[in-house]
Amino acid sequence: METISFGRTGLKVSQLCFGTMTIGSSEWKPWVLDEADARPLLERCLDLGITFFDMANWYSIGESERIVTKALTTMVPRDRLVLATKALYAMSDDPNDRGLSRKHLLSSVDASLRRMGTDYIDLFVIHAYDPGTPIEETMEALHDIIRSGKVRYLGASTMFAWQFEQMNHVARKNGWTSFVNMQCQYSLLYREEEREMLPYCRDQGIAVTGFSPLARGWLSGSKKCRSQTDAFFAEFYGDALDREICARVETIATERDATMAEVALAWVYAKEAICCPIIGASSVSQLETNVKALDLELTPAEIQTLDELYRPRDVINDHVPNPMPRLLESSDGTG
Amino acid sequence: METVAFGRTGLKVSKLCFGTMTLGSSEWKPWALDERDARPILKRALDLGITFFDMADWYSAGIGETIVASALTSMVPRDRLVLTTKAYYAMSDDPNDQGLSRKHLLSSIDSSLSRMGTDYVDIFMVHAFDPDTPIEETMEALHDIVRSGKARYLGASTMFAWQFAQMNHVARENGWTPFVNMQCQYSLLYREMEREMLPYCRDQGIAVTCFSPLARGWLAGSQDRRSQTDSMFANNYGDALDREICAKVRTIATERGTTMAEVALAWVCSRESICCPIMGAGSASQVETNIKALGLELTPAEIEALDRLYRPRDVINDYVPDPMPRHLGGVLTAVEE
Repeated sequence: METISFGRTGLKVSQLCFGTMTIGSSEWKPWVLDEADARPLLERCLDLGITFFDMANWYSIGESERIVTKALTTMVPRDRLVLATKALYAMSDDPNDRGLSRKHLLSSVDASLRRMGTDYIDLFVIHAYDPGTPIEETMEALHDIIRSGKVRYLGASTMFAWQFEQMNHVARKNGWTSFVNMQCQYSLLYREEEREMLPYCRDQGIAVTGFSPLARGWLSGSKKCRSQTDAFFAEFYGDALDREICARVETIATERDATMAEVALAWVYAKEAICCPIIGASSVSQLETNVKALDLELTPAEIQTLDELYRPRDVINDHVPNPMPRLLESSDGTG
Repeated sequence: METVAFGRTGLKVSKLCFGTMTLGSSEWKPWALDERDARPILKRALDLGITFFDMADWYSAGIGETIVASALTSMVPRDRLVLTTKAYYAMSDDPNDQGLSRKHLLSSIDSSLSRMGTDYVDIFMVHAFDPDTPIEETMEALHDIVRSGKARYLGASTMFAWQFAQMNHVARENGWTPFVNMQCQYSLLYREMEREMLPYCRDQGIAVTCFSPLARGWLAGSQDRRSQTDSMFANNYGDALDREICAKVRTIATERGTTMAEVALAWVCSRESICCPIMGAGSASQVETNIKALGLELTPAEIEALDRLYRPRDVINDYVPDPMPRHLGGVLTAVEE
């Protein structure tokens, strides 16, 4: 697997990042793999050349960080890995055990390091924007974490472009560390970041990592265990246009003798605005499919065929409480 | 008419801003009114309490500024007016006679002042973002224009939120003047600015003025002369959902014994994130209709009924070359009326 530069930093990462939300404890979510099942998956990642692993404190409420890092660091030296983790979502009922306050961020990074059994994180990511904390407080705390040596670089996830721009600006104005990474949702079915976030990141040389490249299974032609048990996106994806796009993915997959997942991933891999797609997997064979998609080079005509159908849809983030399909029921039939 | 504070500035403006794109020369666009027809409209606007007038160098290629400012200043003292103008679009074939370069901005403000016959504009606006000029160059030139006294405040129009935020940050980082105004398209049929731009402006206390509150006539129940002759938005409005929203406007208008235009404008006026709607008019009676809408207060239930139908659509600006209708079913909806 190729190694690439992470935006305008000196950091090099594997071309694919492995997302670990599916690893931890099945008590947290039914689709999560326990330690015994996770180990062979992570071993295969390393075999295939993936060295970039994306975690979050919130995944299985800490269990994911513990299991993933323990497995990885028993297989390769810590310094050969690029490990990311995140903070923001509630880790308990305590109102100070969440968000982007100085209190929570400084405790959170220590708690993550303890669970991971390492003394530094390569990329510390704020999981979302916190409207309840002044930006100055957050950015100064993140800078202090960097200066302490506990974190090498800063990233952010899932917010509006204007919020991200403000945070970076506050950091620069004060001589604090700014973000080198934006992690956002991106797939053939969700391309809203093309409007503001991706152009901003390109302008600033910020590395974009994209999650949900298969839109919760829709683009692999099957709604698996997670889609059925996870209400979050069940209502959101699957409108008439989504299904039309999926049909085109299927047609190209048939023509190229590949799976739908490979075609949908190859489309994301072809997008210059995305530095590193984040791929998840629940099995070794799924992982292999995701990696195999790197070898599938779509023709400009195929990319155009996949590109041209998309139409705007609701944004998915914490500040849009109820994202809906493109067509509301009340309009049904009038078109 | 009510006077409102313009964002977090000390400037006060009339609650409605009069947009002058329709005044100038019919040689520029078939729907533009010549001086003789423009004067009574402007007089009626002043009589009804409008003191805020939005212009641009590009409207009728300069003739808009000449006609509007001369008519207004012959009727009321200059200081009683809040006049804006803009720069960016090409005023000739000269590559330096457009854009946001220092060269063009400094010439442009002087040309506008000379056409308007005044020695200052209240708000000098960049008409759009110029990807070919460094932001530093633009913001320093604008700051020099403010310091020279030729412009009192700065505004911007039609760009992405991240571009606007960047421009303001460059100004602040260098101690230059930031923008106090964003002018963007906003109506019941076009609400894309709710995603990024309006929250940013609210956060920063930037006054938002909005144009096309009737979506080129669609929300008035008629595609007027301009919509028929102006290809600019022909493909963008009129899909099934737009027509459904228009039908809802019509229902409420009937219930309230008023016009569709009044309901659509009253909806815009009810939005807290909008400081001032910009309304054009093709006749003195249209000015009256527009102002009458200020008196129409929609109930929360009516606002909810109008609000809930909207679904995202393509952004309309210079960087989206070909905005298309929404996809609302198995086949793309054709525009038909």
